[in-house]
Amino acid sequence: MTLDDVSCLLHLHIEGMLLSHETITRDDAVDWMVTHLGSDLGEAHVEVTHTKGAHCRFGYLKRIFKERMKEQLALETEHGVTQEVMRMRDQVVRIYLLYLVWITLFTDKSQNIVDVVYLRYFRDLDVVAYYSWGVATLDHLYRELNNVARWNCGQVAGYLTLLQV
Amino acid sequence: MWLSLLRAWVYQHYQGMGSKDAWAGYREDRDPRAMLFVPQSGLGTPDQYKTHLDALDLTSVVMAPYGEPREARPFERVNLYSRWLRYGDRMVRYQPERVLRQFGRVQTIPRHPAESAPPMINLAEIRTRFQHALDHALTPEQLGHRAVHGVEAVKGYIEWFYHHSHPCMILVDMPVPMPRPPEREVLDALVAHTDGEHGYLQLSGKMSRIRDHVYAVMSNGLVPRGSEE
Repeated sequence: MTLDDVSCLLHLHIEGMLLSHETITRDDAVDWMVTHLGSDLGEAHVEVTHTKGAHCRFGYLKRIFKERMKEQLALETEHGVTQEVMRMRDQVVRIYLLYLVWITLFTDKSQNIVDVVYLRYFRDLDVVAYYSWGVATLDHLYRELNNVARWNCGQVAGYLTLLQV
Repeated sequence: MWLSLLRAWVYQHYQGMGSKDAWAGYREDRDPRAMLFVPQSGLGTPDQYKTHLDALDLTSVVMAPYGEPREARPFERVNLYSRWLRYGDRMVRYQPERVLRQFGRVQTIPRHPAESAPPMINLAEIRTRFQHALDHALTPEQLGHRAVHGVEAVKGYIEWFYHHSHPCMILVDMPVPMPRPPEREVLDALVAHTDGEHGYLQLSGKMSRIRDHVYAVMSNGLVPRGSEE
């Protein structure tokens, strides 16, 4: 499969910056969630403890998405579009993007936990489009196919069924 | 998404692999190609896929399916970037020169991976290189000639493919040394003796396989142009 395939089949960007993150610690994850998603410090700690890594759960993202949405609406009706409202809207967009790339581009076998490391690309919302999401998708596919090809991978049957759907 | 991508890729490049219906609302100038395919029930069991794959020949493989001109998604030269790609803290080789036919070119024998994507590189370097991807893309010389039928390869490519790239693959009619029980040999010799006068039946069977083989060889471009006689 070539980058041209990704470009034509999915209309994803090829040109741009490569995704270049390294693994982050739980503390980093908590820090990022608080700064970029507006998470409560205690809740963020619960997420990383529960998922045993720099991750959070789908359910948590869904919940704070709704909460933040309501909060910013309430603030807007009260004071109009202030700096604070804009900040909250950015947070809403980040939560949504994190959720979106995880359920579309980078799905894995864990089903319901999201790697917080991708927040790195949503810190500055203006440059999201300059990353090469097409290359990342192809790389991810290569990796998953590698995993599937291992003789001891129990999920082979599952993937084949999905392929036949 | 990566599974949808893989599925769409299979539908797009291999005929008869499951998707027959096209989505009626699809518009080439607007929608990603993956939306065209309406997933079907597929071929059924893994065994049926195996049979299908074994019987697959070049006529049912679509090498370059996106056609020209491409209004919705013009071909970008960055797709010909040939080196390492990076995704997070991992790196993979990306070498379009190994699949030139998918770019509508005549397949040539690719360089050794150590030469086209040297292993001595670090993650930060890959990132900078990709920012200047066009400097590391395949040159027109490396791309070579346009393929007329889409499946051509240079002389010697098929041999290279079986000897260097995929040494574990065997052709259907490739002689494979297989130990046989000695009593079978004796029985076969006996049968061959008694069936001597019906030998032409076996021969016609063999001939049809030779015809298939010649066809495969010709469409692979193994036979140089002008040597058909």
